[in-house]
Amino acid sequence: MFQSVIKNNKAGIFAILLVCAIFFCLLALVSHILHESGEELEKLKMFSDKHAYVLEDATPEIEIQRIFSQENASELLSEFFQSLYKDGIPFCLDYGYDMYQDEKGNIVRYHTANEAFFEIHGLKAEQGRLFSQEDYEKTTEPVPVLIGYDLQDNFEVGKEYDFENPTGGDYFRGLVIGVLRKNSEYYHIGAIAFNQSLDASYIVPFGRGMCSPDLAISDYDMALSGMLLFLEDQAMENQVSSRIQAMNLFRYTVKDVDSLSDEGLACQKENLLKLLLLFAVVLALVFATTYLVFRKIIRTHSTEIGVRVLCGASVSKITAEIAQLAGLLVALSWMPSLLLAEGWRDAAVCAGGALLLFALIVCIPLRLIQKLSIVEIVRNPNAD
Amino acid sequence: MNPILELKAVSKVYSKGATKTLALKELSFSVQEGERLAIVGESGAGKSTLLNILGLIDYPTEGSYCVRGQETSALPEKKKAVCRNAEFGFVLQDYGLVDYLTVEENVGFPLVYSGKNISKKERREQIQEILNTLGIAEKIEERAGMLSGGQRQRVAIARALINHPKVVLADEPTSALDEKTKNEMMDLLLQYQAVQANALIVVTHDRSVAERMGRIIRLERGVLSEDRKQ
Ligand SMILES: Nc1ncnc2c1ncn2[C@@H]1O[C@H](COP(=O)(O)OP(=O)(O)OP(=O)(O)O)[C@@H](O)[C@H]1O
Ligand SMILES: [Mg+2]
Repeated sequence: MFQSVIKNNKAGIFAILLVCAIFFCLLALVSHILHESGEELEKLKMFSDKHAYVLEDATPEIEIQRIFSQENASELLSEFFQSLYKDGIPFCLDYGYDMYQDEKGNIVRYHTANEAFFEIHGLKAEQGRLFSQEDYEKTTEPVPVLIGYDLQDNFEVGKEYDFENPTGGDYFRGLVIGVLRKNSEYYHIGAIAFNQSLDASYIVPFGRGMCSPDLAISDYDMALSGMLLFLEDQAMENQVSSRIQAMNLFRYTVKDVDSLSDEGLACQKENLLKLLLLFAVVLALVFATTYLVFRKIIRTHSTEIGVRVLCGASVSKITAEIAQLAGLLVALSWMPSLLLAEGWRDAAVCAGGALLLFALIVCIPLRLIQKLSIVEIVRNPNAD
Repeated sequence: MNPILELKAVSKVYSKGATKTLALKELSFSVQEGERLAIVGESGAGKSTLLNILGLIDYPTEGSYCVRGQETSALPEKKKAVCRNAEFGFVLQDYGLVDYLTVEENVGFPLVYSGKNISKKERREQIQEILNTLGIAEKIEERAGMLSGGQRQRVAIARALINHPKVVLADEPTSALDEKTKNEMMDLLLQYQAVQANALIVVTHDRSVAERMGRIIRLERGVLSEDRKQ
């Protein structure tokens, strides 16, 4: 049965394989996205009892042009940071740049961060120490530097090196004071939230001393849009808002991290709905394709089926053979999605999908064969 | 001698929605091994229905039908299939060949489902042998759809006989044939019948075909109206 069915219906079989493969890939993707965004929301929750706020950038495109060309912009921004220190508003700040690729293939990153950053992300030193209070105050070279775990071979604790400088001069003189533990990473909140590893970074302290007008506007922009403010009450929130307004530069709105996770949840729900819709469409496509192809197969092979039954095949045997074909199609179309699946979770979801699809794809030919009347075929064998 | 086939008060009612058609009414007769039987009757008399019941393709709605003394109504589908394979060979109207398959594949079906573990080589030898005696051995690789009418007829006969069935059933095997091929067909069927001593049951409209059989059963609107040995 098998061979002649496949030989006579290559295009149809291929169509089924294709839609099923799409189904599985979509499934792997959905599982992956759900899993990821779930993790993201989980991370946001870790800030929820800390009165954490972010600055959401709402600066119109044309304004940005103006700000970057405004001469005293850096000065104003520097003043803003100084005012945060003066008002005693705690904040967590970091930003960085990809600098170069080293001989081991690491993308080496320049990174700067303040004290709260190390605290919040629970970063620990493997060797040497983290930054001290003096390190944050320091304004002269050599700059204290922490290095990521993967950079140990190139930099030694206690020694001075020239480090590439993303802004200002080409190099700055740095003294390595410590190495971070393996797999040190942090979770960056902002317009795009992501996990970032610190294993290939060299980190300098961002403190009062760093907030000089020497920093580029883009540095300040990055610093501001990635920063977390810890605002105990409404008064503090208003204070920050009014300072931002007074600067008359970037238009940031102060936003509760909790509301971000609510927004995230709403967004996730919406995405989920869209995905479900797409899913339904693909499932319908699978159903329609399978139905049409198998209907054609069974129509064009009805004589063969009748003759086989006549010659001693039981209908259940023929049915089993067609079911086997369907099963084979599901198994084959399942393969490409395994490449997309990351981890056992996606694979498990795909396996569940395979069962669903198998049930669907097997049911269709079974139903079609049930409707077939062997008596009719035998009476009139060559009527298609 | 025990009959190979035995019908007792067999009735067949087709129901389509509310309408019921009584196709066979309380038929009783038996067929002995090696018997030649013609079933005749007007169109719609129930001949095909009867033949399908005899071949275990259809089933009676009432009465009992035994093959070799075994009551068939309670047999599960799988057992019926086994019985069909072991006891019956079928020649269908228009031959019922699968056009896209080769002659070998068409003829080989009864061997495939015979349950005996026949190797591909043995199977091919058996097919070759029967095609030889039918004079179409060179067509073994040919697709059935490419054959002439006479050749198709021989392939159909080869398929019906390959498993050495005890009963050969043919539903109007000659209806679409001219006089010459019609006679050839009957010659072949009777020739094999004589050698293999199988029962041969032929449904036919054709007087001359019926005359060549040892016994004629006439159906009239589902009722057995005549059972004549000649
Ligand atoms: N599937 C079916 N559903 C309903 N009625 C049917 C069905 N098959 C056959 N019949 C009816 O049963 C009766 C007997 O049909 P059958 O085909 O056995 O006649 P027949 O003697 O073979 O006729 P013909 O010489 O035309 O082949 C007819 O009245 C027919 O209409
Ligand atoms: Mg008929």
